[in-house]
Amino acid sequence: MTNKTTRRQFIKVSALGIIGAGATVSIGASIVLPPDMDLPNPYPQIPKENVQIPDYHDNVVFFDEHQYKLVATLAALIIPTDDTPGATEARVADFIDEKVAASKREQKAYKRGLNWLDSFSVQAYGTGNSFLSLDILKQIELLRSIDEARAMRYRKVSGYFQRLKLKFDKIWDNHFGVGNKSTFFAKVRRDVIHAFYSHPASWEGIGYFGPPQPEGYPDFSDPPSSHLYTGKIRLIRNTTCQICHHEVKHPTGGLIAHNCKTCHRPHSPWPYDKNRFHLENHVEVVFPTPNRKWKDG
Amino acid sequence: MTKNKETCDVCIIGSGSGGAVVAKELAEQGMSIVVLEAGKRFDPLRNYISSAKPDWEISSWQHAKQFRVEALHKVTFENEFTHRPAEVHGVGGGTIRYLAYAIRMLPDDFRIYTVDGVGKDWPISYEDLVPYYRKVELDLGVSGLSGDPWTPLVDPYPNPPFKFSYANKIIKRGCDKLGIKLWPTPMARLSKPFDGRPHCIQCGRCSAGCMTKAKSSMDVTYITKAEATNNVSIQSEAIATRIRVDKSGKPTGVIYYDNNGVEHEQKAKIIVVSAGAVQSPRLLLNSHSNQYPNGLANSSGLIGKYFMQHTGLSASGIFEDRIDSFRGFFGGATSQDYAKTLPNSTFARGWIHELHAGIKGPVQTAQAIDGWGANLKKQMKYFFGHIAGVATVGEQLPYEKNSITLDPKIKDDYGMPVPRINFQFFENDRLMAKAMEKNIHDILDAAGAVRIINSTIKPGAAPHNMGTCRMGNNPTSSVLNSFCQAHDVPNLFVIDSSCFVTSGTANPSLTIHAIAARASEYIIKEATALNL
Repeated sequence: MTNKTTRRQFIKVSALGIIGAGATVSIGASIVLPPDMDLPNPYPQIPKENVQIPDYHDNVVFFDEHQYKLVATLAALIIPTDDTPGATEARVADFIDEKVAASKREQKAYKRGLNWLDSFSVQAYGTGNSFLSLDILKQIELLRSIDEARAMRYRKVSGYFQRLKLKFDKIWDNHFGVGNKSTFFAKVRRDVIHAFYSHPASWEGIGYFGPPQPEGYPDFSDPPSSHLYTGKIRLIRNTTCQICHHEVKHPTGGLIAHNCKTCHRPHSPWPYDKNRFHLENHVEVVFPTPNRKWKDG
Repeated sequence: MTKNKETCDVCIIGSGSGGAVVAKELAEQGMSIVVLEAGKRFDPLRNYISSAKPDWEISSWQHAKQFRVEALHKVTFENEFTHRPAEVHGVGGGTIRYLAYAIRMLPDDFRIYTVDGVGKDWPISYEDLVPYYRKVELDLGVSGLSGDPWTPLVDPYPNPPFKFSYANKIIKRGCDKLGIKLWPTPMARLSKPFDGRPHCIQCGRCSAGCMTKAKSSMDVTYITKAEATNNVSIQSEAIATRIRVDKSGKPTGVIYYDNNGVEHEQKAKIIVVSAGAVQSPRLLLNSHSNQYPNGLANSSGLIGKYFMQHTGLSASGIFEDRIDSFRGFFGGATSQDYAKTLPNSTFARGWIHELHAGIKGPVQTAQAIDGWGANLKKQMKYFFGHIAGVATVGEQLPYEKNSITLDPKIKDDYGMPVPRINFQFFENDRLMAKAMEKNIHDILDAAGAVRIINSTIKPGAAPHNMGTCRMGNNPTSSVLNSFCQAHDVPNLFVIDSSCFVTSGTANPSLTIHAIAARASEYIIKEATALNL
């Protein structure tokens, strides 16, 4: 048995120990796995270079510097940068910061979870080894063991008593607060995916060319044309509202629904029937589009 | 309590598929109408979420909350928790979020007892509904192609059909091999500008509410036309709690709460309940009185019984070639080949196939993939844009055990008992689900899928609530007559999916519209003859 395996096993055991502290009687039985058995999760490959994370800046609303760096590191490990942009380029940490700042519940979960991550890192690698001070291989090893432990604890089971036990475990975890910890990494993963794949930087790598509106998909019946779009995200006309000539700044360069400077009501930039919305929104104002008059029916 | 002094001719509770049609048809004949809607009034452009931002997927999930009224959301369960039956609150009801399938029910769907010896026959036949189907299709501007192999010949639809999307063409390869015929789905979505509304741009965001008004939901079609008559007043955020009856047992008005929690009574000569198959029976059961101790119009004891939901199952296949299935709407091609009891099958009735685009946006796709790190990115490249799928909507037989009753203890904010749901799948449904699953796998395999992502059958997968106040000719075995009029109380109508005797396989909206149009004609006739 190699050293590596035993250490992974050890961390996995301690991850389970923390997650399920006191929760079950049969915890000793459930962690005995053959050393090479891997769960069916596809696990990360190690990126070649060290993780680059963005610097802490003044626009961060909720996180302090340490928390921000932790979140950014986690994000960069979950979506690493390779030949296509990763979480760092998509500024995932900023997105999560905004989201967390908006909700007390999220704040509590993140505070608790990040503290726990540090303490767990110390427990696994010894005093002074907080998560950020670990080298990248150890960081990944730690996250892997947390993920495996979670997957084991909440794995799919068959049989009435096993299901009952799982239900009991979940209630116990939620009730005593360990639920937040055990699912913290899963939560971060979900938030990072939300943030990353709703940022235009991610679309280049998968050949997506932007949200479904306002243009829709006139080519929906034809063979895919995404090869035309990979490498550049489609731009939607221009950045000035056709109705009120209000500048709209948007990452895609497209027009989005925005509050009109003239009437303080939202406009939407549907190109073909803008006159109609214009008529609805500003009954008394005349607009400079004389050639294309929208007709009812 | 304040009373609304004016007595209106008709008070309609609910403004969805049933209520909106009744409001328009009756208002055009000069009747004065008040519509009570629990949800808010939405302006499509301002209130429906725009999917033009990069984070469109997340924001539309958050935005879906606006279609829910918390006071009506609470339900309890007789057995273990199964699912909360889907409901949409807002002027326009379920049609705000529906996918606009406008499929007629097949002639045999109305007489499954005669054909297969299961369930019960409807008191009406397909032929009775044909003129009303036609009328509704013209009003909605349905886009479709007549001459499909399953329904008797339909007159040309008002708008041309949509083309098959590219994802549908991929699945069609499989269907062709198995000999399953496909036909463009009739859609209540505009393929051409119609009636002052623009054509559909295939953005695929029907379920978030159609901003452009290209989807013929009730709020932009029937409600608009109803309000144009100036005979209709629509009270949004008005939660009806009970129907009041006078000493002779005749319903006289509806008690409701406005958004400030103030109680009102709306007096009316005729009362139409169209609150959906969960809230309609609840309202009638809650309206018990000395004359009707078991609930209004419940002498048969069948209100709330025979609750049905379609057994929905869908699976997505991953294909080697890029499909870009995120383009375009859900659906587009349908097959009703299996919408009957097949020879040699071990169960009764069948299902329809609805081809769809599978998992759509990048966030949703990434969520469906396990793992993290470089592997996740690699898998995303492999998965994204390579997915196409098939959904099946199966007919569930009516079972008396599946029911909506009142919870004996738990009450809502207004002190009314909440609905209690008893819903389960029975042997026939389970057998059908197994066959459906195998059939979907066969189609995807034949189409050349390299991997299949399967969803297991679970209650509520197809959000169609039906049954609970069934129609019939016999007052002891049904709640309503064939015109949706209560057997016990002549001036009470229940016009929504509650009146369905069996569930059929078609998506129910168009049939509800047609039944509502037919019932409206009856109301006008009876009201003119002073029978109500």
